[in-house]
Amino acid sequence: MLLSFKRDFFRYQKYLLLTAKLAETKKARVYTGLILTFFTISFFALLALRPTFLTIANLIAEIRQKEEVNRKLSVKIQQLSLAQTAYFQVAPRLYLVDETLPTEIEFSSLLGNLESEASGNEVSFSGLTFEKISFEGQKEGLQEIGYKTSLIGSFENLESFLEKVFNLRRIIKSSKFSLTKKMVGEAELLDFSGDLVSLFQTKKTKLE
Amino acid sequence: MIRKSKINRDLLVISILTLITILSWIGMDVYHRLTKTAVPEVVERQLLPLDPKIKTEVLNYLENRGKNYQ
Repeated sequence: MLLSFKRDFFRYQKYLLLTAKLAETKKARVYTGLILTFFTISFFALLALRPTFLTIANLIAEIRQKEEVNRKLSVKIQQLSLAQTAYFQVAPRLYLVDETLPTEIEFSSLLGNLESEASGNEVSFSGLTFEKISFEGQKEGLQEIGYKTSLIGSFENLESFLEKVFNLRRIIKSSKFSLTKKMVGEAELLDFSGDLVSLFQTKKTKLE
Repeated sequence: MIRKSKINRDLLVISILTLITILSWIGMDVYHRLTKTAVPEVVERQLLPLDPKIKTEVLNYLENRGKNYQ
């Protein structure tokens, strides 16, 4: 061990002496000082300043975002307030939407409307058959109830009946229809056969 | 002596370049953090503007439709 040290000492002696001599020159001292200064600044910038600046930047960005969110929420609250006022104004008339597009099938009102229009226009029903409706696995959204209608009446009465039925508040559409002549006693009447469709809108309900 | 001086100058250049690189890196990081927007999606959806007007024309139309027949 001792021998090894001695051997190494002799080998590197000239470099050590040169370094000591160099350290005495002004140029070397200035260079060394500058280099160490720059490396020290770099070191601390990397390990101390960077996390600090990043934390500051994060906080500034967060404050900006929160202010922006706050501003947008204030606008939204104002809009909601206005919407609530507008809703209260139209709320008494919202039954119109339910009448036009009920949330349930509402057979009774549909039949009542058809019957009253038929009797009001002197048209008689000779048949009314509803299509089979499945309530299982019913999807949310617009649904149709189809029904085949057979009516007997004069042309004018049938025309008036259909015009009124198609202008009912409840939506009723006709996909196809046919008219055939029919003699009832001595009177010549028309037999109207048509496929009518009514709409309703189902909403998703949670099954408990 | 000349060789040593050259090493010193090289080291100085390297230290300056290192400092510049680190400062640029910090600068870019800070800029990135400042410009990054990280509003959660849920909040973003809640902040979508809402039109507070209700189209009463539809209600007027429905009111007139079937008025005589209900």
